[in-house]
Amino acid sequence: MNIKWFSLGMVILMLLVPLLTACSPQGPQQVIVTYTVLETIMVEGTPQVVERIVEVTPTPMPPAPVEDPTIIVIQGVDPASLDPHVGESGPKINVLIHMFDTLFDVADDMEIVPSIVESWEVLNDNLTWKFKLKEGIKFWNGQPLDANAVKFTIDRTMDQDLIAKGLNDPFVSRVQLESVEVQDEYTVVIHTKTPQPLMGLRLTYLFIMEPTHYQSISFEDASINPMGSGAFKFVSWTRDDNVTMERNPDWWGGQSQIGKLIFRSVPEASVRLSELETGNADLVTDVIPEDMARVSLMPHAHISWVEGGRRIFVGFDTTKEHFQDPRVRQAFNYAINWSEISEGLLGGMGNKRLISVPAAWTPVGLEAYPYDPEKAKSLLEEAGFPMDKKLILNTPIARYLKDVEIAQVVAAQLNEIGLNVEVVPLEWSVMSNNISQRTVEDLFLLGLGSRFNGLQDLDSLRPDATFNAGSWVNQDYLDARLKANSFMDIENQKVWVAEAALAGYYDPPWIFLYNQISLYGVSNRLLGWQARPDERINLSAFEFRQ
Amino acid sequence: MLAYIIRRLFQAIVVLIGVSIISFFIMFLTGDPVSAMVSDDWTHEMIEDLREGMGFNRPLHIQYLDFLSKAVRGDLGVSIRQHQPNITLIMNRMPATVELAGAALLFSLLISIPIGILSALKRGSWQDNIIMVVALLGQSTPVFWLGIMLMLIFSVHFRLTPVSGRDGWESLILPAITLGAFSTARNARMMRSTMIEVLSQDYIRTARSKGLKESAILYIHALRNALIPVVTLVGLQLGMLLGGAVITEQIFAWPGVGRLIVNAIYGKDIPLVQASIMVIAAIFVFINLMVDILYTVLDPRIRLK
Repeated sequence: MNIKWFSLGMVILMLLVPLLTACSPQGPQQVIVTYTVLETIMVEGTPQVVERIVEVTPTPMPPAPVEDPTIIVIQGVDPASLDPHVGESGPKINVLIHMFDTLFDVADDMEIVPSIVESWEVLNDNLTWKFKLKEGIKFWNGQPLDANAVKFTIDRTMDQDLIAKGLNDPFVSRVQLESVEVQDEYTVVIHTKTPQPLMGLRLTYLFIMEPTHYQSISFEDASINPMGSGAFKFVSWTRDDNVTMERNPDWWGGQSQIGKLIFRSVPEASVRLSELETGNADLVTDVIPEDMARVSLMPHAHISWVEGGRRIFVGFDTTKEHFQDPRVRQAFNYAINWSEISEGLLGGMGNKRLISVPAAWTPVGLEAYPYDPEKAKSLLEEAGFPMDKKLILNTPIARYLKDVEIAQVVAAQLNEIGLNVEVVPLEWSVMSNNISQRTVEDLFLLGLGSRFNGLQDLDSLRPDATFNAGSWVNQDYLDARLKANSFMDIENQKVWVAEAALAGYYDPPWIFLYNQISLYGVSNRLLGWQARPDERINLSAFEFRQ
Repeated sequence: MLAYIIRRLFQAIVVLIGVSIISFFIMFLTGDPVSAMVSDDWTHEMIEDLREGMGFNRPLHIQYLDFLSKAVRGDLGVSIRQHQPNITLIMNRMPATVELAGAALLFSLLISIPIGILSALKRGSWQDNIIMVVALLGQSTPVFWLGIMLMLIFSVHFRLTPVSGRDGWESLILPAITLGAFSTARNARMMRSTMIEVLSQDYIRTARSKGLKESAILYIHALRNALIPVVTLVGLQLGMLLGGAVITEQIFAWPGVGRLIVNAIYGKDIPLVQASIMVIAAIFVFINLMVDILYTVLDPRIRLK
């Protein structure tokens, strides 16, 4: 046999394999039900009965209920530690919120609501917070969740020995803690150095830990041996594989309908979807827009998506002379055709941001910068911007959804108005280093999280904020921010947050892009579960539909 | 022989010191480890406090000497993200990696040796052509593509194996085939080459002229000599496989050393990266030494030199 022809034949066969795989059914097809109806219609004044064929795609129905169901959630990464005082990441918080309780919680509508707090008062010129806890709540080992437990949890964040070993919870810094005291068995008092209008929000991240347990184990063991009071008890953790929890029958919020809850970590997005497709997962995170069609073909699953809180933008290095004129930065905003980016890269999803704070906190009537390339050009001309100046736009790689692609389109749109922008992608570890050292290039694509609170979001552009890498400073912004922080009631806060945001709108620190969308593949077993803007996955009180 | 082993051990120590220096300083060249640990609202002051608390504000050479002095006493430090001793984290992952590497190697040997022999015996025939083309394709096929294809076909379409994770022997099948494909192809080609060379030797002709059975000539006289280079190759492959099959582990979410290292690099967990590299280098050096010793067992001529 001629080896040349044979080799060619084998190559063709190998190339056909993926095509055959793609052409073959990916799985069960979407079901369409066809039925015939009889209708009476008028034909030239005479009623006639005719048949009509109707095709319907049935609404997804939940499968038959199972006793003590096991629910499997697959995220992209594993928690690094189960110690609440070590590191903060979305995937880790998704695990912790099932095992621990907090004084306050974030509801599905992003409102801060009391959780294990019965009542509270703010005293002494807003420097003292007195919390009355619900009675009768117990940790898994039977110990009471009382004021001592809260004080222990807060004090532990200040333990210098543990900090030297790596404990790094910033609660004390965030609330400017003066001291914490136990007034009686269920009353804890927190004293702060300055008024803390965001105290409730801060407390949603303070997971209450059982004192005797954590005092009896080493710091290393605390990472792998949690003791909480949450809806689920810790069972086991195989690193880079799964965290397994089982229902806590004594949870104060009522027994969960879920018997066993497993959080797995699978790095590859396509593999997570394969698990959903084969019925081995009930919820998978970080689905990319291109895979929505694949999920739509799964009769037992659906997509749930939400506009999240992560603010994606292109920052300006305002220390550079060519970016100091606000007209230049406004021009860059006018040059961006967001719908082109959204249609081309995000399946038409994502709304253009207009400002740095959440929509509910923005000035009424203010619109996002429209796409107006002519206005962009005229502003640049007015400001005397050197059009031939080469500008570098850094972007991280696979840090955010379509980050490199979005940066490339932004650069292309800027170049369309005569600018000279080059995209240089960077590994995140390098880019985060540049950001923290403030050695960024002219432009940098970044995403900043949001707590859905305008007051909190204003902090992103404080002069000393780590991620204000462009060193943007606006005195009106700072004055309004200070004013907003002096009020404890949200209505006054909103007035001044809007003022600050307005200052940032006309003197833009960023090219405002969008809030990153979060896409989830969800099994119909979890019908009714909705994606949340804060990317939290909380199934503690989930009720299965029948 | 003893002098040879001592000399190789000394070389191994020098290699390990060199690896430790390179791995330590390269990690710091890629940026600040602390900045990768904080969230958006941390101030510079908070970050500096954390940096000081973790000792990253010390001069680099002091940090390195601290690391080295502990390493020689068996203390490879503590992960700054997972807060566990690094050696514990690595050894906890090692069974998964050994399992995967062993299965991949076993798959490779079970396939490559017989087909390499067949190919050599049928040199120039259509069987030889098929085997060599498949081997070439096996070496050319990207691991990532192969793994995803196998998963789509056997796990998603035919539902024969689990998609990912480490849960039972069935979950080992596809990762082992994915990981073993490249070495199968290479070993088969090597087996064929060495077999052809050995079968053309004078002593084989002598054995035939003495009337020995062909099977005896093949399996007693030829195979042992032909296996020597293959053993060397397999030994090196085992060292690389135990170092962590990063791509395969990422695709199949296999909780092995490869994933541990990748996550440590992304998280700028410098102590864990350094410890992992030291352990992998030590394994590699040890396996190389064992292969060299085995070589002398298989080929007495080397022993006499």
